Amino acid sequence: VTVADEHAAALRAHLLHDFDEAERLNRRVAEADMPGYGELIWAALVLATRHRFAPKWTVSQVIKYVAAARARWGKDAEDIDPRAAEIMLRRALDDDAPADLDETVKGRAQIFLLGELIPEEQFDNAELDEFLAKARMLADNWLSI
Amino acid sequence: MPVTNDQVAALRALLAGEVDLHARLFERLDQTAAETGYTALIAAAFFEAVDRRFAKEGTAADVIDFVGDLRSRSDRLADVIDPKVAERLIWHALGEGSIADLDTETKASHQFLLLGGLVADAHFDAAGLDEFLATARELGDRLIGDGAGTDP
Repeated sequence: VTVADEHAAALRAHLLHDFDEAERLNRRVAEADMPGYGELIWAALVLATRHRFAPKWTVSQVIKYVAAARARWGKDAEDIDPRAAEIMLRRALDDDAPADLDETVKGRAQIFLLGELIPEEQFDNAELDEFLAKARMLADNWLSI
Repeated sequence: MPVTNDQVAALRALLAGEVDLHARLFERLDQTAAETGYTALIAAAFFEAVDRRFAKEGTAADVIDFVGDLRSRSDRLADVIDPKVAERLIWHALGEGSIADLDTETKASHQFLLLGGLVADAHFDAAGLDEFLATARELGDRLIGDGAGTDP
């Protein structure tokens, strides 16, 4: 099993805030029941989080980052569980944070965090493609184990 | 039974950062009376502190920022404060949303910790803290009178 082109296209659309296209592609991915999208999102989050926080980070920084990101969305961030988002960032940084979390809550937190971390990078198109290619390679690696 | 002088003195010590004094005063409280009076005083002080901080111009972002900032102050606070619970308690104090699904212990412990953060940020002088506590005491007495406990 490897990450499908549709997965990469769906995530790319989301990261470019082309939400209509992202939703269309997401639906297609969901209908086709293709595995690999979760791995791709997690791989992208691991790479983006490490780039933002590693090598030296503190739990306090993670808490403040999540709070600031949610604060930017105000009431619209109500669906984003802050503790889940913190745990996702900490796990992406290899911290052994406890994670007894619902899959939907985790997925929502991951997508939200990617939507915050990636624009901060101010990637141009080529850089975004390069980033996604790396994430895809990492995810394919996990899927092959 | 209304809020007592001893209960106010215990909370005052805590909010003034005199942790050892608070422990001594808290130990001396009549524990049965404290279950009602001290708990109502803390709830009332929490409501008053939230009102002063957020009621006029507080936005959702301000509430989220405050809770994040408070939790980032120590690992212990990060662990023990559930951010969603904390945000919901603040909104409820501002008249929005329900906290009916939260148990009494969760509500009381979060109100207590949030109160500590709100008062620390308010930088009261001695007279300001006394005035704040007097207002909280009045509200606490009303809560007890209403039989509303920690959920006015």
